[in-house]
Amino acid sequence: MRFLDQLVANTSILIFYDLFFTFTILFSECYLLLYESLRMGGISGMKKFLLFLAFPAVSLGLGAAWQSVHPLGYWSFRKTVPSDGFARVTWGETASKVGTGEWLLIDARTEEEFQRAHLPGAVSLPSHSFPEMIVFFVEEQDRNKTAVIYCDTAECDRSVELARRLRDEVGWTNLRILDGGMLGWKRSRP
Amino acid sequence: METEPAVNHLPFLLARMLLGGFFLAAGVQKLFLPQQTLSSVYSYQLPLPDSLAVLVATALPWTEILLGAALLLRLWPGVTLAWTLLLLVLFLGLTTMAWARGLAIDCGCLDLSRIHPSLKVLSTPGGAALRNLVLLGFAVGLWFCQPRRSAGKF
Repeated sequence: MRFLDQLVANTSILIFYDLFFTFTILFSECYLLLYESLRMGGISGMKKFLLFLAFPAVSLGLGAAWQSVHPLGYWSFRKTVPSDGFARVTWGETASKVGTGEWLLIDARTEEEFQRAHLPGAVSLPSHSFPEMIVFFVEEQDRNKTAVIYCDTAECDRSVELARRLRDEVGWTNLRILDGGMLGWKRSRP
Repeated sequence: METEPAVNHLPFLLARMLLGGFFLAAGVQKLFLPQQTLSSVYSYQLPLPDSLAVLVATALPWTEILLGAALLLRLWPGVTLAWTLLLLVLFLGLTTMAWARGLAIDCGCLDLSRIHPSLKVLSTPGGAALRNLVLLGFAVGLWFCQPRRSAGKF
């Protein structure tokens, strides 16, 4: 079912953006083809025009297929996210430490997702934040604390991505990944 | 009876190899680093919605791979060169804009620092803009000077 859901979602997105790309190209880039058509003849020009449109469409189709099967792809249905050396902790262990202020809980999802719902006591730092934003965020925090990072599920990779960036870009060493992410927390609740 | 002057095809072949190799290598590199590709799209700080940024990061590696392969094999030169010019103008605009805004980002394009660490400078916005300008020069040269195949073929 998950595969079917993703297939339907991906297909609708693809159709929308294929149309978007097509019309953008039609209105902004056809002068290149018109120029070429005038030099080479009408029929050839039409073929070229169709071929020109096929480029982004084929790329998008191949890209969507690739991102669906690649373990770190954006819509992957067979994600096996490596922890990249970061220890995983459970929500039970994390909740008490965050409650006493010993640990810092970081939400690696987007700001909009954070606004919709987040774990108690969490602060937002999207995994795709600009480097300056990450430096600014770390300056505001106590770096001696253990930071526990989470995203949607056990299979999402944004928590690992953010942990990697915090380690590599600002040298934060006490980093852990919340096992199960938001979904694990929801499931652990009675 | 007049005969057409002989054309030296070597410069055009070298230019196509350079452009094709660049696009192919850049596309393959992006293909295996999907998260970094998406981060690079975001790092330009463009007013793109999340879904469009993901779509750009999804389509770009394959566009570059198809384009690179088509350039190397000289398939549909007109269409391929049109896309090459379009992408290079876009890349040049984006990197120049990032350079002008003083963004300290990695361009997200082909990382040559694995060949030599000093080539890392070509991944900064300024270095990437310069590189794109040179590549654009080759593409423009091909577009206007490359001998055309006979009419009806593309």
